[in-house]
Amino acid sequence: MTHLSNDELLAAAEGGDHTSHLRTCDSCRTRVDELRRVLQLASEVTVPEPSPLFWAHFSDRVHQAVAAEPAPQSSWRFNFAWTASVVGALAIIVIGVAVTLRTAQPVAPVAPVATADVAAAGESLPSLSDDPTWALMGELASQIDWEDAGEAGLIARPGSAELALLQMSADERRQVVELLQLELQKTKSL
Amino acid sequence: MATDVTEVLAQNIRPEWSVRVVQPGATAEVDLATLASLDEPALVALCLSGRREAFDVIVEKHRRAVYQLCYRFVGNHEDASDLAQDAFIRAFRGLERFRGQSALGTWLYRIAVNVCLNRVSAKQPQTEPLDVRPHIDQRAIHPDSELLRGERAEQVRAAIAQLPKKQRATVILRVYHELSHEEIAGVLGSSVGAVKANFFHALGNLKKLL
Repeated sequence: MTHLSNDELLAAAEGGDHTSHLRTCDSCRTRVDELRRVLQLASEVTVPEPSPLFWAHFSDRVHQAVAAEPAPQSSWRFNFAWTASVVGALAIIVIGVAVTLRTAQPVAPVAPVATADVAAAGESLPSLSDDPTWALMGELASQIDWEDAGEAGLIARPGSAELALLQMSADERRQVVELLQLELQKTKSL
Repeated sequence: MATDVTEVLAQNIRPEWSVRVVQPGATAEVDLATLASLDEPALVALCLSGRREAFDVIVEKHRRAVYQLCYRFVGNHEDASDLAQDAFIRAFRGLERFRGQSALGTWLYRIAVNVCLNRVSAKQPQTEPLDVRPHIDQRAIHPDSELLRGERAEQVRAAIAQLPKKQRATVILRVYHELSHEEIAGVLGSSVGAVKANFFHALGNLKKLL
């Protein structure tokens, strides 16, 4: 005869149905009875009930302790802040790299066949959709709600550019002017 | 085109709804009775939005169960009270991690069990002598049988206190808080099979000790 497993003995002691086996197996019946006796003994032990005053005092203590704690923040806010930081950092890196690459390239002299050259160069440039960096940016940005992005300060507000310029040092402003002039020259040369 | 708010409300409001209009930026006053009627996810959401009084309601709902759980671990009122308070403070700190996948009570049990296990790791439980326990009216109980029951209870408490930590936690959650094996697995961070095995061995150990 196959005896009940430990799980089955436990289930039987807790009221599970193995009565047909227990009716015929003395060994298993004895073990289940022992488990039931221990469970019965344990269940009879009660916790002394504190006075009603204790509960009010306890709640006051917890209330005061919680009042001294910083406010908890919901996890989506935390996750969003993290995501927004990553997206912001990536955006800065991508823009910085793009600006650096463009300024590092020598400006080609204007040639009589400039239109044809530009068209040919345009065909050889890699498409943005093939750029993994842009793909990652797009993926991350697609997970952000427009309102959330606004709350996190990722969306430029009116006057943001002017404010940014005002906060720049003299050197930074000179560099921005040089970059803008370079871009204007390139546009004129096309 | 301007739309009259009251007109829109009148067209859409259900009879059982109670509508309150709150100025943007104003602090909405929600009384304790209203808070007490909210379900647990709503209370947690309110807490996370900065309404700490919602946590008072959570404490009131669960303080007895959490205290009793702690008492089962440490066997005395003072330590149980401190541990229960600690468990609630930790719950408040970690409220943003409550995902709502289990009942709030089960989540609080998990915190309380961890607090208790940390404590009992550092300190052997000191059960109270019988004479300092809260007064229980024994006029209707036969003194001899009550004394015997008290002694027996003390033996069982001492036996449970000698169990390995996971076995003790399993016995407490299963026998006294009537959690299912699955819920206990969630609280203890183990598998259902491990919980059943722990429980089975715990009962075997108790049998030897009693």
